[in-house]
Amino acid sequence: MKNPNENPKVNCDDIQRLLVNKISDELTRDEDRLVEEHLKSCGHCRSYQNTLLSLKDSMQIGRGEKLVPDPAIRENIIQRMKTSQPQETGILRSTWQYVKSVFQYRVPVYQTLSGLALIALIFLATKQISFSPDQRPPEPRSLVRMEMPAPTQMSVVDNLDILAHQKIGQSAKDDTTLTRFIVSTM
Amino acid sequence: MAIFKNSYAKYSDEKLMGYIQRGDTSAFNELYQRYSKRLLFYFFRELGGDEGKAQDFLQEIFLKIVEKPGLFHTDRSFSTWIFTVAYNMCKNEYRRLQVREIVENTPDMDEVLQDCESELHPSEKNVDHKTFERALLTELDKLDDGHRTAFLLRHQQNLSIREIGEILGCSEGTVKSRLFYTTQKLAAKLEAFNPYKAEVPENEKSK
Repeated sequence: MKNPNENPKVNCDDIQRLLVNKISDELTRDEDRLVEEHLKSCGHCRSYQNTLLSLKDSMQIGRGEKLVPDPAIRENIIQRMKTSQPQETGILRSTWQYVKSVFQYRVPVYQTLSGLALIALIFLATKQISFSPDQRPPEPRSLVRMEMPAPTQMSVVDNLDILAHQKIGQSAKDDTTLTRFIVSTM
Repeated sequence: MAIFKNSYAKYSDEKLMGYIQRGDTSAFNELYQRYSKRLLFYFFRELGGDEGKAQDFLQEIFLKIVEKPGLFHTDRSFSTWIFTVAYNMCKNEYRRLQVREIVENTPDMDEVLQDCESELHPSEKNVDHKTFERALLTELDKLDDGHRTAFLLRHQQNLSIREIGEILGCSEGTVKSRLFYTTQKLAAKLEAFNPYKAEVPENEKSK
């Protein structure tokens, strides 16, 4: 057995200081060897080392108190996570959510219906106005210009309604006949 | 379900936090499993052995994780961050409720010893262990916050000196010095309660 006083500079106080660092794994290899050598022959330092090891051992989780996290904590937090997270953001889902939210308001039915009717009217009016040239409906028959031959003097006389009114120019038909004749002779 | 559990078990804490930020409950479950017991023991020791308060603090810290996940930046170490938050919560609690006053009123060593002898399991060895642990709790509570927290983080949570320095906001040298002082002080106080205390032969007494 080696003499503990082999190194005259090392005494029990020094070793105990090193032992304190040893339980925090802060010793160099040489220091560790020095401590081990000393412990072989020093019961007092061995006892001190045991105290330190008991101290470290007692600090470990699971030693001493039988503490277990309350299971309600996990459940509460997970529940809170589920309620606080936003719903998935699909376009259909978000639209449906929006529609539902709109219908949650107490809107009078007649207002809703009249609003919808107004929207429909605006839509139809827009549809009427914005025809493309190809889609334009045919003009009424009365507005179609008919190609008519230039009236002759005889046909003018025939067409005037002299017999009915004893005078020329008493009806719209006469006016038209005369006007056309005059225009054709100019 | 086992497949999902395995897939999350391989992720780092920081990665799990990333998933939690997106509302993933399975990631939360995994992180809770890893840290709930550690934090509960930490709070229990920090708050003078008050289990109810430790459970409340546990809930509060996990709520912070869920409700304000943005406070954590995934480029940081999660364990350092969570223990920084836990340490700050305890510090605030000391200030707010002055729990240190309660701690000051804890029974002295003789009372602890008497209580243990009368109440605990009749087994001699068990009494010794319990006595030692209760004496340790009492002595821990007498320490100031910085020293106690450094000791807890090192020997209960097995964090590195660097991590402890980051949590406490001090240098590694300060942490080492606090650990040394605390260990030495506790060892001196608890030597009489050591369950493995050996009889020292006369020729091996202190030199």
